Amino acid sequence: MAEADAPVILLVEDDEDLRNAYRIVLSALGLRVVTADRGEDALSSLDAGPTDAIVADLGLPGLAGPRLVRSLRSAAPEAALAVLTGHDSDSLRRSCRAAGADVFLVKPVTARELKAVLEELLRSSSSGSPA
Amino acid sequence: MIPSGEPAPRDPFNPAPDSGQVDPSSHDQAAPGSEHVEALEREIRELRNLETARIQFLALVSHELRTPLSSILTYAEALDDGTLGDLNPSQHEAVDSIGRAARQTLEMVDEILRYSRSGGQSAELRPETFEIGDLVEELRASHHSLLARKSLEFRTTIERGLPDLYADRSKAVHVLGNLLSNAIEFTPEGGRVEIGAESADGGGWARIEVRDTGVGIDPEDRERIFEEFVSVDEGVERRLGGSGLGLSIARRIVEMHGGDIGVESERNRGSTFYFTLPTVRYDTAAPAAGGDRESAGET
Repeated sequence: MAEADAPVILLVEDDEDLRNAYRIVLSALGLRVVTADRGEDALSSLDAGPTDAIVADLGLPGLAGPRLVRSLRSAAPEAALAVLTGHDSDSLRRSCRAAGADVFLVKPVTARELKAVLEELLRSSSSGSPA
Repeated sequence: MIPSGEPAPRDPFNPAPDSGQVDPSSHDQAAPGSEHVEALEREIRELRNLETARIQFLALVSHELRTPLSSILTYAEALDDGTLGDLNPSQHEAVDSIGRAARQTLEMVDEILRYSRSGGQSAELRPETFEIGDLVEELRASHHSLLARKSLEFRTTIERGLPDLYADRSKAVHVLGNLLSNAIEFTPEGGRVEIGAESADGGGWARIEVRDTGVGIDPEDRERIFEEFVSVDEGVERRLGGSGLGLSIARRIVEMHGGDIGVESERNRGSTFYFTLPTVRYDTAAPAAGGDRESAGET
Protein backbone atom coordinates (compact mmCIF):
# COMPACT_ATOMS: atom_id res chain seq x y z
CA MET A 1 0.00 0.00 0.00
CA ALA A 2 1.02 3.60 -0.55
CA GLU A 3 3.56 5.22 1.77
CA ALA A 4 3.03 8.81 2.89
CA ASP A 5 5.87 9.99 0.64
CA ALA A 6 4.74 7.96 -2.40
CA PRO A 7 4.14 9.95 -5.60
CA VAL A 8 0.66 11.37 -6.03
CA ILE A 9 -0.97 10.45 -9.34
CA LEU A 10 -4.01 12.25 -10.67
CA LEU A 11 -5.96 9.84 -12.86
CA VAL A 12 -8.49 11.39 -15.24
CA GLU A 13 -10.67 8.74 -16.87
CA ASP A 14 -14.41 8.75 -17.51
CA ASP A 15 -14.79 4.97 -17.79
CA GLU A 16 -15.67 3.92 -14.27
CA ASP A 17 -14.38 0.36 -14.57
CA LEU A 18 -11.00 1.41 -15.89
CA ARG A 19 -10.73 4.25 -13.38
CA ASN A 20 -11.36 1.77 -10.56
CA ALA A 21 -9.00 -0.82 -12.02
CA TYR A 22 -6.14 1.68 -12.23
CA ARG A 23 -6.92 3.14 -8.79
CA ILE A 24 -7.02 -0.27 -7.09
CA VAL A 25 -3.93 -1.69 -8.75
CA LEU A 26 -1.78 1.46 -8.73
CA SER A 27 -2.60 1.90 -5.04
CA ALA A 28 -1.63 -1.72 -4.40
CA LEU A 29 1.62 -1.02 -6.26
CA GLY A 30 2.42 1.78 -3.82
CA LEU A 31 1.23 4.97 -5.51
CA ARG A 32 -1.18 7.49 -4.06
CA VAL A 33 -4.01 7.89 -6.54
CA VAL A 34 -6.50 10.72 -6.88
CA THR A 35 -9.21 10.29 -9.52
CA ALA A 36 -11.43 12.51 -11.62
CA ASP A 37 -13.94 11.56 -14.28
CA ARG A 38 -14.01 14.92 -16.10
CA GLY A 39 -11.40 17.42 -17.18
CA GLU A 40 -12.98 20.22 -15.18
CA ASP A 41 -12.85 18.09 -11.99
CA ALA A 42 -9.22 17.25 -12.70
CA LEU A 43 -8.33 20.97 -12.74
CA SER A 44 -10.08 21.40 -9.37
CA SER A 45 -8.08 18.47 -7.96
CA LEU A 46 -4.85 20.12 -9.07
CA ASP A 47 -5.83 23.23 -7.11
CA ALA A 48 -6.49 21.11 -4.02
CA GLY A 49 -2.99 19.72 -3.52
CA PRO A 50 0.41 18.80 -4.99
CA THR A 51 0.43 16.28 -7.83
CA ASP A 52 3.52 14.51 -9.12
CA ALA A 53 2.04 12.99 -12.26
CA ILE A 54 -1.15 13.14 -14.28
CA VAL A 55 -2.63 10.39 -16.43
CA ALA A 56 -5.40 11.76 -18.62
CA ASP A 57 -7.73 10.02 -21.00
CA LEU A 58 -8.36 12.21 -24.04
CA GLY A 59 -11.92 11.20 -24.89
CA LEU A 60 -13.79 12.80 -22.00
CA PRO A 61 -17.13 14.60 -21.99
CA GLY A 62 -16.63 18.38 -21.87
CA LEU A 63 -13.02 19.50 -21.69
CA ALA A 64 -11.14 16.90 -23.73
CA GLY A 65 -8.36 16.18 -26.19
CA PRO A 66 -5.40 18.54 -26.73
CA ARG A 67 -7.38 21.36 -25.10
CA LEU A 68 -7.55 19.31 -21.91
CA VAL A 69 -3.81 18.59 -22.14
CA ARG A 70 -3.06 22.30 -22.50
CA SER A 71 -5.22 23.14 -19.47
CA LEU A 72 -3.61 20.44 -17.34
CA ARG A 73 -0.12 21.50 -18.35
CA SER A 74 -0.91 25.11 -17.56
CA ALA A 75 -2.35 24.20 -14.13
CA ALA A 76 0.52 21.83 -13.25
CA PRO A 77 3.66 22.93 -15.11
CA GLU A 78 5.95 20.66 -13.07
CA ALA A 79 3.90 17.45 -13.12
CA ALA A 80 4.69 14.54 -15.40
CA LEU A 81 1.83 14.35 -17.89
CA ALA A 82 0.85 11.14 -19.71
CA VAL A 83 -2.08 11.03 -22.09
CA LEU A 84 -3.99 7.82 -22.64
CA THR A 85 -6.25 7.13 -25.59
CA GLY A 86 -7.78 4.47 -27.78
CA HIS A 87 -7.40 6.73 -30.82
CA ASP A 88 -3.95 6.83 -32.31
CA SER A 89 -2.88 9.11 -35.12
CA ASP A 90 0.21 11.12 -35.95
CA SER A 91 -1.71 14.38 -35.88
CA LEU A 92 -3.19 13.64 -32.44
CA ARG A 93 0.26 12.73 -31.10
CA ARG A 94 1.70 15.98 -32.44
CA SER A 95 -1.16 18.05 -30.99
CA CYS A 96 -0.79 16.47 -27.57
CA ARG A 97 2.97 16.89 -27.55
CA ALA A 98 2.58 20.53 -28.57
CA ALA A 99 0.00 21.00 -25.79
CA GLY A 100 2.47 19.77 -23.19
CA ALA A 101 2.09 15.98 -22.88
CA ASP A 102 5.27 14.15 -21.91
CA VAL A 103 4.15 10.81 -23.25
CA PHE A 104 1.34 9.49 -25.47
CA LEU A 105 0.01 6.04 -24.55
CA VAL A 106 -2.36 3.98 -26.67
CA LYS A 107 -4.79 1.68 -24.87
CA PRO A 108 -4.78 -1.01 -23.77
CA VAL A 109 -2.25 -0.16 -21.08
CA THR A 110 -2.13 -2.14 -17.84
CA ALA A 111 -1.65 -0.47 -14.46
CA ARG A 112 1.79 -2.03 -14.14
CA GLU A 113 2.84 -0.68 -17.53
CA LEU A 114 1.45 2.70 -16.54
CA LYS A 115 3.41 2.67 -13.30
CA ALA A 116 6.65 1.90 -15.15
CA VAL A 117 6.07 4.81 -17.54
CA LEU A 118 5.24 7.22 -14.72
CA GLU A 119 8.27 6.19 -12.67
CA GLU A 120 10.49 6.77 -15.69
CA LEU A 121 8.97 10.21 -16.24
CA LEU A 122 9.39 11.11 -12.56
CA ARG A 123 12.99 9.89 -12.56
CA SER A 124 13.75 11.93 -15.67
CA SER A 125 12.18 15.08 -14.28
CA SER A 126 13.94 14.74 -10.90
CA SER A 127 17.32 14.26 -12.63
CA GLY A 128 16.67 17.32 -14.76
CA SER A 129 16.87 15.56 -18.11
CA PRO A 130 14.02 15.74 -20.61
CA ALA A 131 11.52 12.87 -20.65
CA MET B 1 -27.22 9.59 -44.77
CA ILE B 2 -29.68 8.22 -47.25
CA PRO B 3 -32.45 10.75 -47.93
CA SER B 4 -35.97 9.56 -47.19
CA GLY B 5 -37.81 8.36 -50.23
CA GLU B 6 -34.61 6.91 -51.67
CA PRO B 7 -34.19 3.16 -52.04
CA ALA B 8 -33.16 1.43 -48.81
CA PRO B 9 -29.39 0.95 -48.43
CA ARG B 10 -28.06 -2.45 -49.27
CA ASP B 11 -25.08 -4.41 -48.14
CA PRO B 12 -22.77 -4.35 -51.18
CA PHE B 13 -21.41 -7.75 -50.20
CA ASN B 14 -24.82 -9.39 -49.85
CA PRO B 15 -27.08 -7.94 -52.49
CA ALA B 16 -30.64 -9.20 -52.43
CA PRO B 17 -31.68 -11.18 -55.51
CA ASP B 18 -34.19 -8.52 -56.51
CA SER B 19 -31.95 -5.64 -55.55
CA GLY B 20 -32.07 -3.98 -58.94
CA GLN B 21 -28.29 -4.17 -59.31
CA VAL B 22 -26.99 -4.14 -62.83
CA ASP B 23 -27.57 -7.48 -64.45
CA PRO B 24 -25.07 -8.22 -67.22
CA SER B 25 -27.65 -10.34 -69.00
CA SER B 26 -29.90 -7.30 -69.43
CA HIS B 27 -27.44 -5.41 -71.65
CA ASP B 28 -29.38 -6.33 -74.76
CA GLN B 29 -32.40 -4.45 -73.49
CA ALA B 30 -33.18 -0.85 -74.37
CA ALA B 31 -30.24 1.57 -74.11
CA PRO B 32 -30.22 3.31 -70.76
CA GLY B 33 -31.82 6.74 -70.73
CA SER B 34 -30.69 9.64 -68.61
CA GLU B 35 -33.07 8.59 -65.82
CA HIS B 36 -31.52 5.17 -65.74
CA VAL B 37 -28.00 6.63 -65.70
CA GLU B 38 -28.96 8.97 -62.87
CA ALA B 39 -30.40 6.08 -60.89
CA LEU B 40 -27.20 4.11 -61.37
CA GLU B 41 -25.07 7.06 -60.33
CA ARG B 42 -27.22 7.52 -57.25
CA GLU B 43 -26.86 3.86 -56.45
CA ILE B 44 -23.08 4.04 -56.76
CA ARG B 45 -23.01 7.05 -54.43
CA GLU B 46 -25.13 5.20 -51.89
CA LEU B 47 -22.92 2.16 -52.00
CA ARG B 48 -19.83 4.31 -51.52
CA ASN B 49 -21.46 6.07 -48.55
CA LEU B 50 -22.41 2.72 -47.10
CA GLU B 51 -18.87 1.40 -47.48
CA THR B 52 -17.44 4.55 -45.88
CA ALA B 53 -19.89 4.23 -42.97
CA ARG B 54 -18.98 0.60 -42.55
CA ILE B 55 -15.26 1.40 -42.43
CA GLN B 56 -15.84 4.23 -39.95
CA PHE B 57 -17.92 1.92 -37.79
CA LEU B 58 -15.19 -0.70 -37.72
CA ALA B 59 -12.59 1.89 -36.75
CA LEU B 60 -14.84 3.20 -33.99
CA VAL B 61 -15.44 -0.28 -32.60
CA SER B 62 -11.77 -1.12 -32.59
CA HIS B 63 -10.94 2.10 -30.71
CA GLU B 64 -13.72 1.77 -28.17
CA LEU B 65 -12.83 -1.81 -27.26
CA ARG B 66 -9.43 -0.67 -26.02
CA THR B 67 -10.78 0.83 -22.82
CA PRO B 68 -12.51 -2.31 -21.48
CA LEU B 69 -9.49 -4.34 -22.59
CA SER B 70 -7.30 -2.10 -20.41
CA SER B 71 -9.48 -2.98 -17.39
CA ILE B 72 -9.41 -6.70 -18.12
CA LEU B 73 -5.67 -6.82 -18.72
CA THR B 74 -4.93 -4.69 -15.66
CA TYR B 75 -6.88 -6.99 -13.34
CA ALA B 76 -5.61 -10.17 -14.99
CA GLU B 77 -2.00 -9.03 -14.62
CA ALA B 78 -2.41 -7.79 -11.04
CA LEU B 79 -4.10 -11.02 -9.97
CA ASP B 80 -1.55 -13.16 -11.76
CA ASP B 81 1.53 -11.44 -10.33
CA GLY B 82 0.15 -11.38 -6.78
CA THR B 83 -0.28 -7.60 -6.53
CA LEU B 84 -3.81 -8.15 -5.26
CA GLY B 85 -2.98 -11.16 -3.08
CA ASP B 86 -2.11 -14.82 -3.47
CA LEU B 87 -4.12 -17.16 -5.66
CA ASN B 88 -4.42 -20.91 -5.52
CA PRO B 89 -3.37 -22.91 -8.62
CA SER B 90 -6.90 -23.11 -10.07
CA GLN B 91 -7.38 -19.39 -9.67
CA HIS B 92 -4.01 -18.77 -11.33
CA GLU B 93 -5.09 -20.92 -14.25
CA ALA B 94 -8.38 -19.04 -14.55
CA VAL B 95 -6.64 -15.66 -14.49
CA ASP B 96 -4.09 -16.83 -17.06
CA SER B 97 -6.96 -17.82 -19.29
CA ILE B 98 -8.61 -14.41 -18.90
CA GLY B 99 -5.34 -12.70 -19.82
CA ARG B 100 -4.82 -14.89 -22.88
CA ALA B 101 -8.37 -14.32 -24.08
CA ALA B 102 -7.96 -10.56 -23.66
CA ARG B 103 -4.70 -10.61 -25.66
CA GLN B 104 -6.41 -12.59 -28.42
CA THR B 105 -9.23 -10.07 -28.44
CA LEU B 106 -6.69 -7.28 -28.73
CA GLU B 107 -5.14 -8.99 -31.76
CA MET B 108 -8.57 -9.10 -33.38
CA VAL B 109 -9.19 -5.46 -32.54
CA ASP B 110 -5.86 -4.54 -34.14
CA GLU B 111 -6.74 -6.61 -37.16
CA ILE B 112 -10.11 -4.90 -37.54
CA LEU B 113 -8.41 -1.52 -37.32
CA ARG B 114 -5.89 -2.49 -40.00
CA TYR B 115 -8.74 -3.71 -42.16
CA SER B 116 -10.71 -0.51 -41.75
CA ARG B 117 -7.61 1.51 -42.62
CA SER B 118 -6.75 -0.56 -45.66
CA GLY B 119 -10.36 -0.33 -46.86
CA GLY B 120 -10.39 3.46 -47.10
CA GLN B 121 -10.02 5.33 -50.33
CA SER B 122 -6.74 6.74 -49.06
CA ALA B 123 -5.12 3.31 -48.89
CA GLU B 124 -2.10 3.72 -51.11
CA LEU B 125 0.72 1.51 -52.18
CA ARG B 126 4.24 2.73 -51.54
CA PRO B 127 6.24 0.36 -53.71
CA GLU B 128 9.96 -0.09 -53.21
CA THR B 129 12.61 -2.57 -54.29
CA PHE B 130 13.61 -5.26 -51.80
CA GLU B 131 14.88 -8.82 -51.64
CA ILE B 132 12.39 -11.55 -50.87
CA GLY B 133 15.12 -13.34 -48.90
CA ASP B 134 15.41 -10.42 -46.47
CA LEU B 135 11.66 -10.39 -45.99
CA VAL B 136 11.59 -14.12 -45.27
CA GLU B 137 14.49 -13.82 -42.82
CA GLU B 138 12.76 -10.98 -41.00
CA LEU B 139 9.60 -13.05 -40.62
CA ARG B 140 11.52 -16.16 -39.60
CA ALA B 141 13.14 -14.12 -36.81
CA SER B 142 9.87 -12.62 -35.62
CA HIS B 143 8.18 -16.07 -35.60
CA HIS B 144 11.16 -17.89 -34.09
CA SER B 145 9.63 -18.49 -30.66
CA LEU B 146 6.32 -19.68 -32.11
CA LEU B 147 8.14 -22.15 -34.37
CA ALA B 148 10.30 -23.36 -31.51
CA ARG B 149 7.37 -23.80 -29.14
CA LYS B 150 5.86 -26.40 -31.48
CA SER B 151 9.21 -27.86 -32.56
CA LEU B 152 8.39 -27.08 -36.19
CA GLU B 153 10.96 -27.47 -38.91
CA PHE B 154 11.24 -24.29 -40.98
CA ARG B 155 12.59 -24.36 -44.52
CA THR B 156 12.99 -21.80 -47.27
CA THR B 157 13.37 -22.44 -50.98
CA ILE B 158 14.09 -19.35 -53.01
CA GLU B 159 14.82 -19.59 -56.71
CA ARG B 160 18.34 -18.55 -57.56
CA GLY B 161 18.39 -15.32 -59.54
CA LEU B 162 14.85 -14.35 -58.60
CA PRO B 163 14.69 -10.58 -59.17
CA ASP B 164 13.94 -8.25 -56.27
CA LEU B 165 10.31 -7.55 -55.51
CA TYR B 166 8.86 -4.18 -56.42
CA ALA B 167 5.99 -3.84 -53.97
CA ASP B 168 4.82 -2.11 -50.79
CA ARG B 169 7.18 -3.78 -48.32
CA SER B 170 5.12 -3.22 -45.15
CA LYS B 171 2.03 -4.63 -46.84
CA ALA B 172 4.02 -7.60 -48.16
CA VAL B 173 5.18 -8.25 -44.58
CA HIS B 174 1.57 -8.23 -43.51
CA VAL B 175 0.52 -10.78 -46.17
CA LEU B 176 3.41 -13.18 -45.69
CA GLY B 177 3.31 -12.78 -41.91
CA ASN B 178 -0.38 -13.60 -41.85
CA LEU B 179 0.11 -16.74 -43.95
CA LEU B 180 3.09 -17.82 -41.85
CA SER B 181 1.20 -17.29 -38.56
CA ASN B 182 -1.71 -19.36 -39.87
CA ALA B 183 0.62 -22.12 -41.02
CA ILE B 184 2.31 -22.28 -37.63
CA GLU B 185 -0.97 -22.23 -35.75
CA PHE B 186 -2.53 -25.07 -37.70
CA THR B 187 0.44 -27.37 -38.10
CA PRO B 188 0.69 -30.06 -35.44
CA GLU B 189 3.74 -30.24 -33.22
CA GLY B 190 6.83 -31.58 -34.98
CA GLY B 191 5.51 -30.67 -38.43
CA ARG B 192 7.06 -28.54 -41.15
CA VAL B 193 6.46 -25.05 -42.45
CA GLU B 194 8.12 -23.88 -45.62
CA ILE B 195 8.32 -20.64 -47.56
CA GLY B 196 9.16 -20.80 -51.24
CA ALA B 197 9.56 -18.14 -53.92
CA GLU B 198 10.00 -18.46 -57.67
CA SER B 199 9.44 -16.38 -60.77
CA ALA B 200 6.01 -16.60 -62.32
CA ASP B 201 4.08 -15.68 -65.43
CA GLY B 202 7.20 -15.67 -67.58
CA GLY B 203 8.96 -13.05 -65.45
CA GLY B 204 7.84 -9.79 -63.96
CA TRP B 205 6.16 -11.61 -61.07
CA ALA B 206 7.18 -13.71 -58.11
CA ARG B 207 5.04 -16.50 -56.75
CA ILE B 208 5.51 -16.84 -53.00
CA GLU B 209 4.23 -19.91 -51.21
CA VAL B 210 3.73 -20.88 -47.60
CA ARG B 211 3.45 -24.64 -47.27
CA ASP B 212 2.51 -26.49 -44.13
CA THR B 213 1.88 -30.04 -43.01
CA GLY B 214 -1.27 -29.07 -41.12
CA VAL B 215 -4.88 -30.19 -41.15
CA GLY B 216 -5.69 -28.88 -44.63
CA ILE B 217 -8.82 -27.15 -45.89
CA ASP B 218 -11.88 -28.71 -47.47
CA PRO B 219 -12.48 -27.83 -51.16
CA GLU B 220 -15.73 -25.97 -50.46
CA ASP B 221 -13.97 -23.64 -48.01
CA ARG B 222 -10.94 -22.71 -50.11
CA GLU B 223 -12.49 -19.63 -51.67
CA ARG B 224 -14.66 -18.64 -48.74
CA ILE B 225 -11.76 -18.26 -46.32
CA PHE B 226 -10.66 -15.15 -48.25
CA GLU B 227 -13.99 -13.45 -47.70
CA GLU B 228 -14.34 -10.93 -44.92
CA PHE B 229 -16.33 -11.72 -41.77
CA VAL B 230 -17.26 -14.99 -43.36
CA SER B 231 -19.64 -17.12 -41.38
CA VAL B 232 -18.03 -20.51 -41.47
CA ASP B 233 -18.18 -23.90 -39.88
CA GLU B 234 -16.06 -24.71 -36.91
CA GLY B 235 -13.28 -26.29 -38.90
CA VAL B 236 -12.61 -23.27 -41.03
CA GLU B 237 -13.08 -20.95 -38.10
CA ARG B 238 -10.28 -22.79 -36.36
CA ARG B 239 -8.23 -22.54 -39.49
CA LEU B 240 -8.80 -18.81 -39.73
CA GLY B 241 -8.46 -17.98 -36.07
CA GLY B 242 -8.68 -14.34 -35.07
CA SER B 243 -11.32 -12.10 -36.49
CA GLY B 244 -11.68 -13.79 -39.86
CA LEU B 245 -10.18 -10.72 -41.47
CA GLY B 246 -6.52 -11.66 -41.89
CA LEU B 247 -6.91 -13.43 -45.20
CA SER B 248 -9.37 -10.91 -46.59
CA ILE B 249 -6.87 -8.14 -45.84
CA ALA B 250 -4.14 -10.24 -47.47
CA ARG B 251 -6.27 -10.69 -50.58
CA ARG B 252 -7.02 -6.99 -50.74
CA ILE B 253 -3.32 -6.13 -50.50
CA VAL B 254 -2.29 -8.65 -53.16
CA GLU B 255 -5.04 -7.48 -55.50
CA MET B 256 -3.97 -3.85 -55.01
CA HIS B 257 -0.63 -4.96 -56.48
CA GLY B 258 -2.42 -6.67 -59.37
CA GLY B 259 -1.47 -10.14 -58.09
CA ASP B 260 -3.33 -13.33 -57.25
CA ILE B 261 -3.76 -15.18 -53.98
CA GLY B 262 -5.12 -18.63 -53.33
CA VAL B 263 -4.70 -21.95 -51.63
CA GLU B 264 -4.12 -25.53 -52.67
CA SER B 265 -4.85 -28.11 -50.04
CA GLU B 266 -5.63 -31.69 -49.24
CA ARG B 267 -7.46 -32.63 -46.08
CA ASN B 268 -4.95 -33.85 -43.46
CA ARG B 269 -2.05 -33.45 -45.89
CA GLY B 270 -1.37 -29.79 -45.45
CA SER B 271 -1.98 -26.58 -47.36
CA THR B 272 -0.05 -24.36 -49.72
CA PHE B 273 -1.07 -20.72 -49.68
CA TYR B 274 0.38 -18.72 -52.55
CA PHE B 275 0.35 -15.15 -53.78
CA THR B 276 2.07 -13.20 -56.51
CA LEU B 277 3.75 -9.81 -56.36
CA PRO B 278 5.54 -7.81 -59.04
CA THR B 279 9.31 -7.98 -59.40
CA VAL B 280 11.77 -5.48 -60.76
CA ARG B 281 12.26 -5.85 -64.49
CA TYR B 282 15.88 -5.91 -65.64
CA ASP B 283 15.40 -5.23 -69.32
CA THR B 284 19.08 -5.39 -70.23
CA ALA B 285 20.33 -7.85 -67.66
CA ALA B 286 20.84 -11.44 -68.68
CA PRO B 287 18.79 -13.86 -66.63
CA ALA B 288 20.79 -15.47 -63.85
CA ALA B 289 21.60 -19.16 -64.00
CA GLY B 290 18.71 -21.36 -63.02
CA GLY B 291 18.57 -23.75 -60.11
CA ASP B 292 17.30 -23.54 -56.61
CA ARG B 293 19.08 -22.25 -53.61
CA GLU B 294 17.76 -24.13 -50.68
CA SER B 295 18.35 -23.55 -47.05
CA ALA B 296 16.84 -25.63 -44.34
CA GLY B 297 16.88 -25.28 -40.65
CA GLU B 298 15.09 -26.42 -37.60
CA THR B 299 13.86 -23.61 -35.48
